[in-house]
Order: sequence, then structure tokens, then C-alpha cells
Amino acid sequence: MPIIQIENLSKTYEYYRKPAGFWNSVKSLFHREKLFAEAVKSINFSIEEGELVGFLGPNGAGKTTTLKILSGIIYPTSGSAKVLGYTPWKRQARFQKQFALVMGQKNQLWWDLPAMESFILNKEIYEVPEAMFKETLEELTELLDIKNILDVQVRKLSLGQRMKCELVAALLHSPRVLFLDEPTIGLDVVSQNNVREFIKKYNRFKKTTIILTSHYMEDVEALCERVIIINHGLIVYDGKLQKLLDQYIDHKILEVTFTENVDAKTLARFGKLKERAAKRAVIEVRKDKAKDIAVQLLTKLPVDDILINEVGVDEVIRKIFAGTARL
Amino acid sequence: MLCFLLLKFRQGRGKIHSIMYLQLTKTWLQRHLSYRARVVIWAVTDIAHIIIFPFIWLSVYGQQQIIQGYSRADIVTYYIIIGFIGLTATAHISNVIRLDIMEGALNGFLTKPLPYNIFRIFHELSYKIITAAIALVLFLIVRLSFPEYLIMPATLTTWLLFFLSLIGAFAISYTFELIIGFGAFWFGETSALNQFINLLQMVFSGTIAPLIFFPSIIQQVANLLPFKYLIYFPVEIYLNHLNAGEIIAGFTYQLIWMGALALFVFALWRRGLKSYEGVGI
Amino acid sequence: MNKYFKIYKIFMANSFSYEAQYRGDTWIKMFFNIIWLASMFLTVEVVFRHTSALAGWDKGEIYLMTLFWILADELAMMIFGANLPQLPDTITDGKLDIYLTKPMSALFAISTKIFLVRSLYRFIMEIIILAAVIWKFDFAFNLLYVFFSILLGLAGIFVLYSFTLMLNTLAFWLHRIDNVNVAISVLTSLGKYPVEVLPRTMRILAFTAIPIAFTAYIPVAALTGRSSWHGILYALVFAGLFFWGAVKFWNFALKRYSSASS
Repeated sequence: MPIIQIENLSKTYEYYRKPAGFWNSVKSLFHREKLFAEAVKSINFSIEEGELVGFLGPNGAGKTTTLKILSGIIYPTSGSAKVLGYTPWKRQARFQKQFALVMGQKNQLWWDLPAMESFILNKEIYEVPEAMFKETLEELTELLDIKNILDVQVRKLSLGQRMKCELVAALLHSPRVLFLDEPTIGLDVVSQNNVREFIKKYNRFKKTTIILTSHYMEDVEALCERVIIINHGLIVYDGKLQKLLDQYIDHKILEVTFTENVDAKTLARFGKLKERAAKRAVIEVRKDKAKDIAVQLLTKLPVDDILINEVGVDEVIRKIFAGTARL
Repeated sequence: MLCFLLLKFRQGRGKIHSIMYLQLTKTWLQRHLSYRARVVIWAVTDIAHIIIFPFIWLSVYGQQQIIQGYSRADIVTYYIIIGFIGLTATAHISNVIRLDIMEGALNGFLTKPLPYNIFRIFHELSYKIITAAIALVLFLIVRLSFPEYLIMPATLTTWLLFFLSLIGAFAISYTFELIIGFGAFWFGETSALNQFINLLQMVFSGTIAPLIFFPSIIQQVANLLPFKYLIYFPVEIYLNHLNAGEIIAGFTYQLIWMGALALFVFALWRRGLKSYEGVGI
Repeated sequence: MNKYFKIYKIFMANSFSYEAQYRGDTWIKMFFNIIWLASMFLTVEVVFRHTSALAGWDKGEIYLMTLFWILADELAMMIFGANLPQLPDTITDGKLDIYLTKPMSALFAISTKIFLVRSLYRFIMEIIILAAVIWKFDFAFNLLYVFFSILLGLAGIFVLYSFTLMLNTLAFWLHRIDNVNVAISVLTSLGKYPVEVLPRTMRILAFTAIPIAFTAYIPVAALTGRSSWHGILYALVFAGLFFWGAVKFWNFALKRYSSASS
């Protein structure tokens, strides 16, 4: 039985249109045009217990909406969703005690008090027994290495420390399902890495099912074996990340520096010329031909250095978002 | 202060600027209209706090016709005009300014060619256009519904003097709002200062009751403070309770207070900017 | 409901911790509070310079009404005064969503999260002033009346809460109406005076749609023996129904929020 199951889920919401201009403002006192937007259009997917799934999509694609539906914050317009066997928007306490939502941009901790106070509050809200609370707290603060900042006011902590405390607060009740909405946003490189490592470890140890939305490809590459890509309210890809890369990446990038100037026409014979500076060029070539072309370049041209690079995940995703990749 | 700014306008500001100010006004009006619930609520607030007093006094009057120079119609008109002044000549900008300073938004304004204070004056004035329209409508409704309780000035002179005094009242009100708002440069949380000034205003402007109803010590203090010229002075002109000498003296005091407060506020602004570090985010 | 007691204890503890950090402000605010009280007493004095009774109430009784109002307002401030006015902002910046995912009543959290410790100090001071006024005007109260006036006072707090909740709930539909709390404060301050001075229509409003009579007028009317049995009953029933209505409205608003937004 999948732990998360979505069938034909749709969400349409209404909004008002107000054209610019003074007289339009006066007119809108009396009448406004109501418009509808389809945030999510009849999507389907299911997730098994213990999976760590990446939810990708451009802004406005529908991923936050889907996450909000799974958390029970909003109702769908039609279709069904089941998390842990519960219908999320019924907001049953038994369901809520088994999942957690962490939003990178909205903190839940009390600003002027030490993080510990927020933890104690969550303990009571989720009715976590004392012994279990102590144990879990110990475990989490050990893993995230934040034991020494529990008594410091949250507003005095750095963004990275705050995020770690947010994670602890969310996991004190040992949820079986965890929704992470942009957890590494705004963090410095070191903190991002720490958070990623933690999520990976946590998922492996506790077998917590995790859905992660992120704009950072490093998050996705590091954590998600499976990705669901959503665009314009529709799912455009649902499967293994590696398969996506294999499927859509059909070329490699050769970065070459020369000892002398080489003209563009000559370079274009070897592959697609992406960039060219005085003694430098970036050429896109087919994956299977990469090695051969590299050899040709080395033998026929005055090459100083040559690098064979993988195409980044971003580019694949970008192509998918732009709709230029074949589905 | 308004005069000073009007002078500044005339000094070499081209036609382009007047188009910009027109657009600024239009934009502010649109913004106010889009938050119409908010505008309505402010209007209700401005009127509500005095609405019970006419009834209290009518009850106090009982069988009497006059108390200390105020007839029954006088006293009811008194509060109606206070409501009118509340809608047309009272400024509310202090909290906006406080937030600009506290949250660092002031930075954005300081880097633009449009002076911050001009921007905020247009904010307030465009808001006043809307509330003045509301005030006029309400005035007419009250006049048509209870003509015996709303006295109208007999001569055009009285009307003119009344509106003149309103300009001065608005200038003083706006300046106080600036003083409270700029307080954020030093205090951050200005609600205590705000409450204190509002309190002084309530008592010494004649909002609670005509100053003449108060013990003489209160009246004497009121004469030394500027608040009298926000409410009591304009209403007394409207009710034709002042002779020519008192009117001239009143306007003189109003102008003196306008000047003194304007100077103070300019100094505050300059000092404040110096200590402003642009923190916020 | 044991859970909610525990949670509220933590809210209170947190509020005390918070207050301890900003102690400097407290004395200034106390001072301003005294001036504010003085201005209210001044108003009473000004009125009674020109009469010996206001709609049948003598000066001492009006002082009582003013103080009852002050105490009720303070109690309301203590419990939900720092919370409900934040509701419009909480909705706009999406923080409400977080409450909706937790196994706890969102209404409870947004109503009681911050306990205003400063109000507690002021409340104590105001009780002392009440005692002084009772002593000065030489009041002697019937114990039964005292009991009912306290009961009605509490009912008045429920009415105030419901009124504030209902108007702030409108934030789900209307934008930037956080100033509605200023309007509420101004409207309810009219409840310091005997409702008898108002003309008939407004008097009816004061007992129904704009329920300003419940905070001070009704409790003090009961205290001074002016209330009838059905008056007291009406007030209690109204408070109950009004509260029920406010909660219903909140639930309705929440449903609509969950259906209409994305």
C-alpha cells in the first residue's frame, strides 16, 4: 500500500482581475472580473514508504499547491489524495501527529525565545511522551550538532542554525511523512550541505517518507533517487532521476583552451560551438562521439588543455520546463 | 510647513514635475480605493469616538437650554464638526513613517529623486481627498436628517475663516504625525509616544468637551499648547463664538505653532537621518 | 482538554520570559496608563460639573462603570488583545497555514498565544483603584448582585472576544483591515457610559449588533440593582449565542480559505 496516493487531483482557484489605471479603480468599486486559474490539473502519483522524492517545477507550476493539499491546508477541487490512509484536508489529529511540514521561508519557532521553548511547545501539541521526547531531542541535536545553541534566542541565530532548529522542531514527534518546502533556500553553502546530509541520513535511518521541493539542483542530485516534475499543473516526468538524465542528456560539453587563436569556422567542424573567446572554446558534442572528437581536437589543433564535462541537471530540467525536451 | 513646500515647488520645478505629482496623486488614490475596507474603517473610527458625547450632553442639559454659552444645538453641532474635522483635517501617517524607518524601506526612498517627505505628503493628501468626500456626504445626510441640530454659519466670512483654520489644523496635525513617526529614528517602538500625544490631544483639543466646560486650570494649560488649534479654535469659529479680536489672535497663535513645530520637525528629520543606519532587513 | 491547559501554561511561561527581556518599557507604559486613567476620570468630572446625575446615574456609579470597563478591557487585552489583531497579518503572510497542519485548534492558538504580562500589572493597579473608588463613594453592595455582576462581566469579555474575532475573521475576504481593531477599540470605549442616553435605535444596536453595552453597562446595572431577571438572562444567553456564532463564522471562513486559495 503506497503511503501517499494521489488520483486525478485537481485544484482551481479564483482571483480578481483589476486592470491598471485610475478609472478602472473606480469601476472596480462596483464590479470586478472573476477569473479562474487551474493550479493542478488531474495529477496522479503514488509514493511508497521510505522514499525520498524530489518535487520539481518552476514557480507557479503547482508544487506548493500540491504540497498544501497533502498537508491538509487546502481542499482540492476534485480527485482524491490519501496520506497514511487519511484524507489530509479532514485534518484529523491522528493524521497530523504523523506528519510534519517544514517551509524554508516561513519559520515556526518563537522569535524572541530560545529554540528549546519551541521544542517544549511542540512536545505538548503533538503529545509526545516525556521519555521519547528526551531521546528524540538528544538524537536530533546530536545529528545536527546544535546542542550548544538551544538556549540562544532564535533571532540571534544564523540562518543555517535556525533551519537546523526548525528541522528538530518538526521531527520531535517522529513523523512518518515529512514535507520539505525549499529547506535550503537562502542558506550558505556549508549549511546547505549539512542540511542535505542530515536529510539523507534521517531518511535512511528512520525510513521516513520525504517529499522535497527545491530550486537547487544540488539538493535534488544529492538526495532524490526519484523525481516528479510538475509544470503548468501537470506532471511531465515521474521516475528515476538517473533515467531522466540518461534519457535527455545526449551530449557532453568539451571545454578547450588553446595555445594559439583558432577561428570559429574550424571549431564548428567538430561540434556545436557554444562559447568562444580568444584562446578558449566550449563545444557541445554527442555523448557517444565525445571521446573521439576529443582525440581529434588534441591531434589536429594546438590544444593546451581539454575537459570533458557532463551536462548539468539544471539544463535538462530547464529544457523540460521550457517544453523543448521531447517527452 | 505646507507653505514652505509650496514655495519649493515653485522654485524652478518644471512642467514635467507637475505631471509626476498628478500621476503620484492618481496612483495613491488607486491604492486607497483598492483598500476600501480599510478606508471605511478609518472613517468609522474617526467619527465613532465622539458619537456618544452629544447624547451625554443632551441628557445633562435636561431642561436647560444653555450651558456656558452653548445651546443644545451648539453642543450637538460641536461634535458633528469635530467628526467633520476628524475626516478632513486629521493626519494618520505616523505609523507608515515609523514602519519605513524600522523596516528599512526608507532606504529605497532616499535613493530616489522624489523626496521622501513629498511622497508621504501626497500619500496623506490623496487620502484626505477621499475622506473629505465621505465627510461631505455625511454632513449633507446629517443636515437633511436633523437640521435643527446642525447649525450652519450665517455668513460666507464665517465659512471662509473656518476653512482657513482647517488648513492650519491639518498642518499642525500632520506635523505631529511626523514628530511621532520620526521618533522611530531613536525609539523604534513609538506607541507610547503616540498614545501620550493622542491623550494630550483628546483632552486639550476640546475633543472630549468644549474647553470652556473644563476647570480653569485645564483651560489655562490648553491655551499654552497647540492642540487647541486642531479642534477647538476651528469649531468656535464655525459656531460664531469668537469676536474679530479673538479670531485674529487665534490665527496668529495657529501660525506661530505651525512655524515652531515645522522648525522642530525639520531639525528632527535632519538629526534622524544622520543617526539612521539603514538597518532593517 | 488537559492538553490545552498544558499548552496554555507554556504560552504563559513564554510570555513571562519575553516580558522579562523588555522590562524597561514596563514603567513608561505604566506611567502612560495612569495618565490615560486620569483622562477618563477627568471626563467624568467635567460631565458632573454640570449635573448631579447622568440619566439617573450618580457620579460614584459612573466611576464604577468607567472602572468596570477599564478592568474588562484590561482582561481582554491580557488574554487575546495581542493575538486577534495579528490575525489579518497571519493570514496574509501564510503563517496561518502552519497552524492548520498541527493537531491543535488553530483558533485556540491564534487567540491565546501571547499573554500580556503588562496588562496583568495594570489590572492589579486598576483593582486597587476600584477599591479606592468603592471606599470613597461609600458603596455597600448586595452580595448576590456582586456575584451576578462578576458573571455578567465575564460574559461581557466573551462578547468582546466574539466581536473582535468576527471582525478580524473578515480578513479572509478583505485585505489590509488590521485597523479594524482600532475601530473596535474606539467603539467599545463608548461602553463606558450609560446606554440610556442614546436614542432608541442606537440603544438597540448597543445590545445587539454593536454590543458595547455588555462590557460595563450591564454588569454595573446588575451591581447597582438596576437589572431585572430577564435582563440578566438576556445578557448571558446573548453572550453564549454570540460566542457560538463567532466560532461558527471562523470555521466557515477557514473552510472557504481552504477551498478558494492555492
